[in-house]
Amino acid sequence: MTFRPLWLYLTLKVIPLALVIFVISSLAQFFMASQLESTIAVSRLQQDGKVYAQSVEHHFDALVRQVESIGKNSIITNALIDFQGRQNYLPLYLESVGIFDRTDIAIQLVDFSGEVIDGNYYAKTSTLPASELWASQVLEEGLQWVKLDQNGLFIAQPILNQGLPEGAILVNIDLNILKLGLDNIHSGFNRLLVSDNEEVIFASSALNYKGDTAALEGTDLWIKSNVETIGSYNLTAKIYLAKEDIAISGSLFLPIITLSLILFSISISLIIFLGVTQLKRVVSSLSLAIEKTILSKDLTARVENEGSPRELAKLGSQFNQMMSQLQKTTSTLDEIDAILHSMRELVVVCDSHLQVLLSNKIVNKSETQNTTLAQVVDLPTSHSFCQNNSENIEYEQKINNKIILWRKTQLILQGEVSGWVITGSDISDIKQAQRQANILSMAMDSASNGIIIVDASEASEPIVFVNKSFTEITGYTEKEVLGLRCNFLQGPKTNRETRGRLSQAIKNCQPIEVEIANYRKNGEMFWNHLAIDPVIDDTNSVTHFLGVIRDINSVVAARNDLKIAKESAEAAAVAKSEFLATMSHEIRTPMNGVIGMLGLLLNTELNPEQTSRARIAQSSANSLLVLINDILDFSKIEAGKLDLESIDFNLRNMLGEFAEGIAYQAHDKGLELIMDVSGITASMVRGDPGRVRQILNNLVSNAIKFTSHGEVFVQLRLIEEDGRWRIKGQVKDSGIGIPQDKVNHLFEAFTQVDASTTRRYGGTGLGLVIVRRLCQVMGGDIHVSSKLGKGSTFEFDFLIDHSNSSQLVRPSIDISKLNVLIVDDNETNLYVLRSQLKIWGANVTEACDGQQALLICQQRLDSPDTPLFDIAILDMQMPNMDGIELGRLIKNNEKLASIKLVMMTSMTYQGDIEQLAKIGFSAYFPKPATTSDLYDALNVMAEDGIALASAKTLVTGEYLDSLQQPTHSEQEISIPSNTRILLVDDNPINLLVAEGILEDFDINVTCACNGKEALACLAGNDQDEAFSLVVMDCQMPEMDGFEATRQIRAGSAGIQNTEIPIIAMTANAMQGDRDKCIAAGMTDYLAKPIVAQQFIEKLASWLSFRLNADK
Amino acid sequence: MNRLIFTFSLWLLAYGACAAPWVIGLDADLSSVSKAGGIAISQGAELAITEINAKGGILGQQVALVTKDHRGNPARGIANIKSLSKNPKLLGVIGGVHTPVALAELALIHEKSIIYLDPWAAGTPVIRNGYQPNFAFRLSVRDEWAAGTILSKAKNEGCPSVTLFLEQTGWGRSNEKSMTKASIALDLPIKGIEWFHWNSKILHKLITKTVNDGTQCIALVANTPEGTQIINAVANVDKSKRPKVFSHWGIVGGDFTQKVKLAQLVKVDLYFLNTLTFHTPKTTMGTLLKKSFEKKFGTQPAHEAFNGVAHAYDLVHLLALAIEQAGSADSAKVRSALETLGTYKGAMKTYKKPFTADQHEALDASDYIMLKFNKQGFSEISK
Repeated sequence: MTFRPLWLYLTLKVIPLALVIFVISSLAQFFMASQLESTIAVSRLQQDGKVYAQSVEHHFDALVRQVESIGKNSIITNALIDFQGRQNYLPLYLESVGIFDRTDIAIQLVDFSGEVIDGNYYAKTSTLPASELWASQVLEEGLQWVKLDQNGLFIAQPILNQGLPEGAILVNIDLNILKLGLDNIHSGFNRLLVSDNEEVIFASSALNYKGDTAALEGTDLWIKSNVETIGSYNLTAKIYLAKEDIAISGSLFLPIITLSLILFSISISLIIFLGVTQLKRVVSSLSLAIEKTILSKDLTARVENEGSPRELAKLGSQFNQMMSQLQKTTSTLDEIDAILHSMRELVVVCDSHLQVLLSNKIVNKSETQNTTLAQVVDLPTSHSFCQNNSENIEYEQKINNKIILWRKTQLILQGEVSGWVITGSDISDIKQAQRQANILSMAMDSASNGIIIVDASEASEPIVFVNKSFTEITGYTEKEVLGLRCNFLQGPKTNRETRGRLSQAIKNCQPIEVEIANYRKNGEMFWNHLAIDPVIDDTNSVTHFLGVIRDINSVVAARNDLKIAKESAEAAAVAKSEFLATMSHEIRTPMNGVIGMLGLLLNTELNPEQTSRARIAQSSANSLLVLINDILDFSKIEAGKLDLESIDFNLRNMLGEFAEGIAYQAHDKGLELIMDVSGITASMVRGDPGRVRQILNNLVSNAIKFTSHGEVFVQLRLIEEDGRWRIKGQVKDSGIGIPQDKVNHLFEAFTQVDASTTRRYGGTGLGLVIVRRLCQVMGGDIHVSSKLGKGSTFEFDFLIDHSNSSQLVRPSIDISKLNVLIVDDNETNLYVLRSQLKIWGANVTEACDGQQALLICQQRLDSPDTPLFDIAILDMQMPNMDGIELGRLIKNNEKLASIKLVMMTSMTYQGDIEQLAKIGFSAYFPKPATTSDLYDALNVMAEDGIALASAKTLVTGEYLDSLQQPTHSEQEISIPSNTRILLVDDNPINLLVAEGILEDFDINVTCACNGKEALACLAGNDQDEAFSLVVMDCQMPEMDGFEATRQIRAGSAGIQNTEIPIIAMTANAMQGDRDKCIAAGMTDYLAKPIVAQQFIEKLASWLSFRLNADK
Repeated sequence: MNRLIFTFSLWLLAYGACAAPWVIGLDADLSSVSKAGGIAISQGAELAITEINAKGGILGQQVALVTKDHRGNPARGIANIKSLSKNPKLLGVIGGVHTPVALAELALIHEKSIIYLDPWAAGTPVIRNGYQPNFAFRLSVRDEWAAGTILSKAKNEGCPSVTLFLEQTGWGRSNEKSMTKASIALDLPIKGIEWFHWNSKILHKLITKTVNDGTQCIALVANTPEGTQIINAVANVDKSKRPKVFSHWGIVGGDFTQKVKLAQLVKVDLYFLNTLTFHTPKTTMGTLLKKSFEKKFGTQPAHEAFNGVAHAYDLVHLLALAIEQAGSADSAKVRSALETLGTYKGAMKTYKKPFTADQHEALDASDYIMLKFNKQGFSEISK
């Protein structure tokens, strides 16, 4: 048999079919070409129809826009408004205005109601659509109205002024005029325009149209375009094309079709040739591989399938698979042997007679021949393990320290039992671990805490172990809980948050300790101290959770009791402080009345006895107020509400004023009060002057109180410390002293040295507590050292800030050129004077009595090298020769008369100042000597100018004051006469007191009882009688002072009053009150009880401020 | 219309059981070019009527304000007067800002014998209208006299001559006459006159043209829309050539200061006529009016049309006085009573004799002042 070559075989099979396809496709192409030409012609017609419709619409749009522009013409708008003048220009405009250069078009102007104002000639001769049709749309809504019909195109255009319709322009274009324009649009086509009412607007003459569309379309002369709608003009447009104009010819497509057939033939031949070549390549590769295998018996030979067709590739891979199977079978036996020997466990394979057939390396191979299982496991043959049955399949063999566990398994080959496989494994370590686990389990059972272990590897986290204590604490038996999820102890009172923490910790595998409410089996709740730790294995993953539980019911109960006790104690403390504070307020309010009324009483005409009684009452009331202030301060301290001010103040002046005030007390008791302020190197500082004064006042008053004779020495120094000042001070007295065992209790509240002290000296025992607390709040402390009967020394310190305006006081006169003599029998006093004068650089000479002073003067006169003294400062009280006597002697000596004399007196000296002047004294000031007095006096005297000459008699403290600032009486005058003050307080006594004070100063006062009345008063006043200032109580019924102030500031009492000064007046002297007042918008703050001088000064300062601001 | 319903429903609430109240009509532009002026007038009338009603009304009956919006369109104004005249309780009609509307309405007003109170429109012929008896009364500026105030300010500011910018309406024409007269009296030549239409779009070109012709000062008679364009155009002129503008008050009838940007406004030396400013009341009554105005309508930093409030307020009070004096609402009797009223302390001034038979003008040139905008865009008196 002969075979055809592959290429010839395929060609003969394919060619006939290809020829058939070839012929059919040629015919189809001829047919399609002819259809295509006709379709193109029709679609071109549709396109032209659309374009025509758009052109017509644009044409009408252009007409409408022209009318719009007429409507926007300012002449037209103006004509609507210019009633009288429009006849001059409107007719002319309407006659001349044109659309597309045609003026033979009807144009009319109507007003807002549709009434005709004017129109051109054509408008008067033609009929326009009735106004009902368009008036509401055009004249009310301001929208254009357009209508197209056989009468032509009508456009009603609103005339807008500020967007509102005020009239309209009406335009009508006759159909004949319209047709002239439409004829030029798409003139190359046969066109038809019909309105919605089947009215013909335009028709090309070629159509010979008689108004019957159906007749036109019934003939087959025409191909028509789609109907195009021109919506905005209610119009439809069409184009017609004569059928004979479309010529069909296939000639254009013939060469293209022939050429494509030739290309088709060539490509078929090429495909067959390439296919055969490829096929040949693959078949050859397959046959080569088979040949190679047969010849060389090489099992690795494979067929290359790359790039072959699927069928051939499948043949190739089947061949390759067959080869791989063959290769595998030959290697299996070797592999089994290798696996057996690489096992850790012992493996023995026996036949059914238990003769060893195969064993791994651990069993000696040489012994394999004829070895029985009994020999291998070292057992008698009769042992049940060594029998050919499944009775006993396990046996533990002990060899040396090892324990081998043998297991026997039937060997089944092809469904039949054909022998045994025996495996032996070393279980020594497992046995050891079991023993240890037993010990641990016993330990756990004997532990007093409950222990619980949970398996973390399972999703349900079941309990796998609980100890005995767990069952005792919870009441559950081990059986009941094993396998449960461990949250079964939780119940209704278990804290949700604690639960959350627990599950979070377990989720994150972190240790956690919580106290949690759990439930015993009997339903009883108990507090559980639960600690959970994750158990982590070698791979760092959590296998178990270990929980330790402890019943802490008793601990929790104790803790709760403690908490309740603490809270009640704290509440009691707060209540006490609040009680004290409230009491103080309650007392202050009536005190205000008492002190105020007494003040007023004293200003009236009284007989001497009444005056004396009133004064005593006033003084008692003041003492009571001091006491109340102490208690209030103390309650603030107790309540932790002590606040400090931070203001710039002149420390020297403050100390001077303090000294003057306190000196009365000392001199009343015949005590020497010595102030050493030479260490105060800065005058301006920043801090709370009131509190500084309070500290000094308390300490010095105490010292005076407990000292019956001798001196009280006060020393103050400023020390620089980290950019601030530390004030160090000591108050030393020669009083009764304090026993050593009481010193420690001195700073405790309500404590005095003993009860008898209280009886003898009075006082609350709060002063020192307050002082200590103030020092501590200001960053310092206080200490006391004392000797019973000898006196006490209080040393204290605290911090204040630098003031920006701080400066050293230096005399403007060069005091360093002065020679000063100081005469005093008190050494401390001499020391203080000398220190201060030396700071200023003066040459100081001291004398301890009059005799010595005179002697020194004489010596100076005798020796011409030493200059005579410029100034001598003399003490008043001295033994043998007092200051007056010494002064007289000096002045009587002609050579010494040039020395200017300064007298130092105690405050109780009521002698005749004029007498001192007569003797020749230049100045006098009270002890203790204050820096500013001394400094000012030296200046005035050393200058020897007008200031000295102007002093009526002597230079005194008061005189020095008058040189620097106006006295209060001048300030009073500065209150303008038309000043009106609104006084707001619900307490009639307070109103009376304040009113009384104000009337003394001739101030016009109006009273209001609450905030509402105040607002009404302020709002009801004219500018001429406007209020200058408001004094406002804080707590009032109806509307309190805070709310009233807020409303005044917001303008509720008139714009003129929004900035009026408002001074708060309140008994609320507690912390935060001032802030509250200022926050509410008040200008200043005045604590009750009202003190006349403070009150009037405050008013003066705000009124003069106001006065200046007005200017 | 809403306002009308609102006013009536208020009245129904208060006096539902009583006889129909007196009606004072308000016919003004409340929504178009000069609505600020129209609203000011209605507020002034409302304040006066509230006061009158609180004191027991007129002839023992309460008074209601019925407002009609003519939008500056004379045809609407005539229709409004027709509608108001049908009410038998009509006491009189208060007009609005626009002179052209007032002029167009005069025939109908006299045909129906309606008291017509003019609180703003300044056209001279509104009052000098040739009707006998004359039912129109004005408490406002009169162009004839305003021209003197405006041009003498121009002279004081050193103008060598002025170019007039006038709107092409009865108001513009009324000013053409009075300005021409005043220019002769003051010896301040008129350099030229530019007429313009409402809604004109070529105003900036007119300004450029006149500036190029060497104009240094402009006397302006325009309402807010055209005034806005002109002031903007003047502000855009180079500083060295920028003319000063002396304007009649029509420019502030609308929201002028809101329409001209402050930056533009401060560039122009603009002086304009008025009778008062919001912040400097002329009398105690004026101060009280300002207070009650702010109480009712809220405090404001400025109010450029406050003259409308004060004029309408005084006019309504004068009308009420005249009716009480006549003892009847018959318009002929009220007209005579208005002509014979005695001294009245008003918010604008103290009127010795507000009107007489020969003189239906309550104000005269001595009441006119020239204002200027300060840096904040608020008007203040120009000294």
